[in-house]
Amino acid sequence: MAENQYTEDNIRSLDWKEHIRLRPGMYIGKLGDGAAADDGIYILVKEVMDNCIDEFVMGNGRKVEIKVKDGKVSIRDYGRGIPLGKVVEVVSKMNTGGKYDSKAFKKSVGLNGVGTKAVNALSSYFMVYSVREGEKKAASFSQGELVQEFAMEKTDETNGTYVEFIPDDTIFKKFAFKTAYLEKMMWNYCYLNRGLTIHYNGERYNSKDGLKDLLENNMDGDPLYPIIHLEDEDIEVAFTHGRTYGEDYYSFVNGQHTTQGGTHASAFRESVAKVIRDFYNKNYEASDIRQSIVAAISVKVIEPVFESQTKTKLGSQEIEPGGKSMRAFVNDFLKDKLDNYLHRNPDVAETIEKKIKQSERERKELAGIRKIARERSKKANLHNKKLRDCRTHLTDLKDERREETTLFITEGDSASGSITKSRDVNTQAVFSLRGKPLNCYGLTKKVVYENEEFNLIQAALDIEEDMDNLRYNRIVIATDADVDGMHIRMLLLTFFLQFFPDLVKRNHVYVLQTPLFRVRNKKKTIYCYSDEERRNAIAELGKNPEITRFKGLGEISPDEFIHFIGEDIRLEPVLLTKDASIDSILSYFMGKNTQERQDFIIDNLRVEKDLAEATASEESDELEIAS
Amino acid sequence: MAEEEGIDDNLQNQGDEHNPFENKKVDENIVPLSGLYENWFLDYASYVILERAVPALFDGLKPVQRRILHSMKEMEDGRYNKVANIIGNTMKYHPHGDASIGDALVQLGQKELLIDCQGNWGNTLTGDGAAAPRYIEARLSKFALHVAFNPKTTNWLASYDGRNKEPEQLPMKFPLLLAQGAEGIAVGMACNFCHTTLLNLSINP
Repeated sequence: MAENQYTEDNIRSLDWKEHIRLRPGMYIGKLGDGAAADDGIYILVKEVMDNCIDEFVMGNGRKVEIKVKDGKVSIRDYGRGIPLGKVVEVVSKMNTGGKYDSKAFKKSVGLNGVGTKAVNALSSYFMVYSVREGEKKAASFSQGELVQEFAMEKTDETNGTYVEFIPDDTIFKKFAFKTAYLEKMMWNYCYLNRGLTIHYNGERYNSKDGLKDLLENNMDGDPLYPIIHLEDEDIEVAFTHGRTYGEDYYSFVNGQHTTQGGTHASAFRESVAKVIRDFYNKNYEASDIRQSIVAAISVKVIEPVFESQTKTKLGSQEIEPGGKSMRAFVNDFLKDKLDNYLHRNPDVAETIEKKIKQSERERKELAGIRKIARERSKKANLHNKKLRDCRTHLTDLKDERREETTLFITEGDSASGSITKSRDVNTQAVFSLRGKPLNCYGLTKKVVYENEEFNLIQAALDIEEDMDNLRYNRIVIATDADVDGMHIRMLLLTFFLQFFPDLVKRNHVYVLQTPLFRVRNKKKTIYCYSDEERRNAIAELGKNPEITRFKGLGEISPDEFIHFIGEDIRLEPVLLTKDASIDSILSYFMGKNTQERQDFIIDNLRVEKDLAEATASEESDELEIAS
Repeated sequence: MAEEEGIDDNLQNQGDEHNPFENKKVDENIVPLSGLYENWFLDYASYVILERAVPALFDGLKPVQRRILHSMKEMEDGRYNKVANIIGNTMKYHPHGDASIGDALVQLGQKELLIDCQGNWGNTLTGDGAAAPRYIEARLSKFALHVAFNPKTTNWLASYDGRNKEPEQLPMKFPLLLAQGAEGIAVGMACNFCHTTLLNLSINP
């Protein structure tokens, strides 16, 4: 007991930067290493970018330059520049900012004067300078500590602010920026700020048609009808119907991407169904109207309220304090504009109605099996025999570890045993597949109810209706590293892409990387994830190390497994890119056997012979030296 | 061979560029969905075609069959061996489940050519299955011993764990593929070979 005394000494008052560094989660959400789109390092970039965008929105500077190289981010805007006398304070004194006075930045996101300071405190190197009317003021920091304050100097640069930082790798361990995420982020800024040009690593990003461009670039496959693009003061909406299952929304508030939606997104969902239903004057189900919809909505709100500092879910009920309610605002807008649009474009209206009727038919077909399915899912909810659940879930909004929740989908019982034993029971759950799942390409949603395994996965994730109740933030496919494991990855991913594409679109799906080799001698053990790492390890350990090849996850013992799913977990995100649509990928690889695919296999057959292995790796070593 | 080396080199290069774990701080080479599928698909398809479902033309055997024969030859002492033991021994070469080896052995035995069977091996015509591996016994037939083996003309490979050697192909002195037939479904291709009677084979050499 004596050790637990609670005295004056226990009470600590933290310096601002100490507090940020101790509790980074409060400021930038989760840390991570850059493998997920909402990892801390991207939030750092966003915080700085947001300030530049705010300048643009206020009509200052139509260009922002950003460079990300070797972990160093540099961002230059051509706005008004921070007032020179306050450069140091703005980036290092808590609760300092130019946006408290709501008039200057009426509809901005970065209101609280925390963003840049958090970036400063979490960077091993941070440099800022501001240029105003031929004068320049610079300062540099390290971990929020002022390193050098430069004197005012003359310059002929154009007005604006320049920020440069390197995230602190003691906090963001082994971080690496993924270009795909940054590109997406830059595009989003462009879609929402028409007229703004972003130069990202020398490439020019610019959007003419705003949200319409967003949908065009992010949609999978062709829309059923041309995108409907409507706008008014403080609101912009674009939507169409696609060919995939589910509803897909991109929502924004004051230029901030609210990945988890919020009041504006739900108001849109509700209103769009209502307006369309009233237009046809028939009693269509809202879910049939919205099936396969792809939509983007952006609103401007005065003093928006978010549910967390990372601002991914809007909580505002009103569009301005004491103003119109969000629901009425969106509804009035759609009622006017969308109704008019449908009257003026009868062919679009006809296409939509056809689609609704088709969705209705499909739903009714499902209704029959749903009964059996409901009984099954009752059973599954009571006791999901394939699932070993964890305590926390993504839906526990108050739990601070909810973002860490992970579901491992393992292949067979041989692997799930080790994971179950070594996992963190609070946040990591295990679902074990038995054998290979069905290839569900080209099947209808019926199969999700008929196939027991799929039904249980659906129940475990709780995504039957929509994504709102998703129980785990990360869904990790953990199969063996052998060829059958590859096959199962394909089959599982096909299932997700076919019926729940949103899971993949919102970056919830990952593939677990497990080591392929263990190289060890008596003193040291190294786990290697690739052939190259193995060669390095052998070089390091010298003569005759013991080399074990892990083909199946069952070969890894539980106390080793802790390293592979703990802090140093290596996850490969499954990302959708524009180069090929989901449907074209699936039909090519998972669909009917085509001549084209057969030729592709024949041309690319991978031959592996163990005899040649030892010599081959030596040869390639020589090659590398030679080249 | 030249082609194969080309493929290997390509893979090597890709590996170097794509290695996401290098401490580069900026990860340019994110593999998109199409790339993931392509990679997994080729791994799987190649393996199933080369190592699982399609027999080699030269000795008419699928890898699992070849491994069974090799392992039976290794255990050969003139007496019957329990099938369960053969399965166990074959696992030194075949890194898969015991059931798949057992089924392959029973199928081979039911052709009554290479394997001398003891016990209930089931019947393909009535659809009856064989007895459990712990009951039935097998040894190589005289015919198999005569036509299938010759260490001196065999190309040897390291087994999957590097502890043993296994034949790349058996030096078959007999058109086994024609006599036994074969069928297998791989990815993107399948094979179906009708079997021929010994009489026909001997008339048309």
